[in-house]
Amino acid sequence: MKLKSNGQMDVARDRAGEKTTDSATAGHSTSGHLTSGNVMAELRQPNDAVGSRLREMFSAIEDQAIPDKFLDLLEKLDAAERAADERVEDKTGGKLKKAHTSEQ
Amino acid sequence: MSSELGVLKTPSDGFKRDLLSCLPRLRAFAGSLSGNPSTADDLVQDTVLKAWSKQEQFEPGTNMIAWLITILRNQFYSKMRKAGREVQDSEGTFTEMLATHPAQHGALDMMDFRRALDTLPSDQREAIILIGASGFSYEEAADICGCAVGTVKSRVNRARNRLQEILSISGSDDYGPDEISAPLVKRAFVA
Repeated sequence: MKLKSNGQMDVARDRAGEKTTDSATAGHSTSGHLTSGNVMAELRQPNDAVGSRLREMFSAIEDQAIPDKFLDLLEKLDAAERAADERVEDKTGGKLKKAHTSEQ
Repeated sequence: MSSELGVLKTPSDGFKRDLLSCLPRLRAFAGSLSGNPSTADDLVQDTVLKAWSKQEQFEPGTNMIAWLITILRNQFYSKMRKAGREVQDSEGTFTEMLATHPAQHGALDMMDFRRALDTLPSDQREAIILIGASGFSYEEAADICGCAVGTVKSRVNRARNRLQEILSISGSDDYGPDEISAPLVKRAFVA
């Protein structure tokens, strides 16, 4: 009822309601009893009331671009590791580094 | 120039690339579990740092996303323990999280669903997210949660039943239980 203020959402919800009626009521008749043998398969049905909402929530985030801060973080970690590797090479002496470059 | 790059190449190149490709699913899991985008991204950041420092423990070729989610959920539970209680999402941030996505369900419907999900014990919530949204098998989910396969199954079962009950009640005008069972269900839920 609270959706009445927005006609568009109302329609969307009604449509979703029609689609999920079967699975919602079917599931409901067994609710409270762990009778269902294959909850995973039921959850993964396209119109399962719970499964479809779970997937919508999940994919809404999954489909977002990765925020720059994570890309930057990985770059920094990578750069720090490379710098550390170089320091190790320096400590083990110029020989190792020379051997490496001459191989290339 | 090319020789220099050759020297600098480290085994972490492949690790970094794989980690990067796991980030969208990792963020989606964190957001679904916590319900709060900033909490979720903090969790992801902690997980990336931890994973990086433990990268020699990761066996290349094994399931990296499962490994990352195992780390993330440990972070989540230790944060929850420190906080003393679960921090629930404020409604605005959840709407933000969904705002730009093509939706099968309306925003208010999804808000109801989020609230329902937050009423579940977190072990049930994570189980139903792993099985119902992340696409893991029962065995993988059991590994991630460190429990028996049967335990995962029963958590998912209880979570789905509970969510169906709540959804049916809140949306009874549209697609809830029939007229005879609705009052019974409502009463059972309140009591």
